[in-house]
Amino acid sequence: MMYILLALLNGVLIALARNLNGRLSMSRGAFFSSWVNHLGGFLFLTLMVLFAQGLQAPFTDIPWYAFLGGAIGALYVGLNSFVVPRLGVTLSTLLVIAGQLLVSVLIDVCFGKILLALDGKTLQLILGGVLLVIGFYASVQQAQKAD
Amino acid sequence: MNRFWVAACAVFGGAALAVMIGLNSHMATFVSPLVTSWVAHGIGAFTALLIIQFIPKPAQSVSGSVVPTTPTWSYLGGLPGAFVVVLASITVNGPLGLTGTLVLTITGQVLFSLMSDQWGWFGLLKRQMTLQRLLTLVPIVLGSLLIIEAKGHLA
Repeated sequence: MMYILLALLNGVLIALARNLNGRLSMSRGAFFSSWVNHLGGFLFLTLMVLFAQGLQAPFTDIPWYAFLGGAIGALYVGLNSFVVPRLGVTLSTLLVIAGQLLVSVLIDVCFGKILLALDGKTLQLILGGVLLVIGFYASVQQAQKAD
Repeated sequence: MNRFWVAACAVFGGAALAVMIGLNSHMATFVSPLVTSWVAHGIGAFTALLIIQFIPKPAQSVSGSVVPTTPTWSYLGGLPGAFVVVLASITVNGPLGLTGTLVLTITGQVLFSLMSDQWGWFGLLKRQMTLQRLLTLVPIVLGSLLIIEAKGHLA
């Protein structure tokens, strides 16, 4: 039960961050918002790292490309902040999730974590993808009309 | 900008998120999730700072998406975000696993987003739910659930 509440709370926190960054981008721009988001998180996490555990990690073992996650994160928050005021939070959230799922499946297939075969589960993946595309076009039409 | 391209930006943002999670998870096999999030936020701040040197602030207003005022609380977006990686690492390694965590995290996001849109929280435009709008969102939710469920079985 505690885990369920924690996972739900995590979703609320993600949406809250998306809201705040979206609002900030309305006056200061999407990547300014991304900068403030990362700087704020970095300062807060610096305190957490110092007080919670201290820094004893051997950074030298980490491959260089793993550090690119943070740079891609800047792009992610910037795009998010750009989209939220224009499409609303709900549609932005659902489209981000759609993109995330499609690419995570692609990554899993490429790295051999998912083995595709002509079975029910693969068809389910494809059907899911088709529904995402349908939803994308339908919601874009709807957003266009609403303006 | 045309709504199609704005929506494409959202999907591209999700794609970036998936790659980011993959890379950050890889780093988390060397250092703790907390330190991973700390490093990623530091590099993210530096990257965003670089980007704003090169792109101009958007000036054109699209249905109230650009406003002059900045509320102080809108600077606090980084704080909830700072908890996300740590909380996720707790629930993924618990009884919920990756699939359960994903479904519940998405549920929390969607519910909070629906409420924010409905009542126009956080100074964003009020977008009340209509049957028509709901019908366009259902395929995205359904498609997402099908993919998550299938992925849980295949992985």
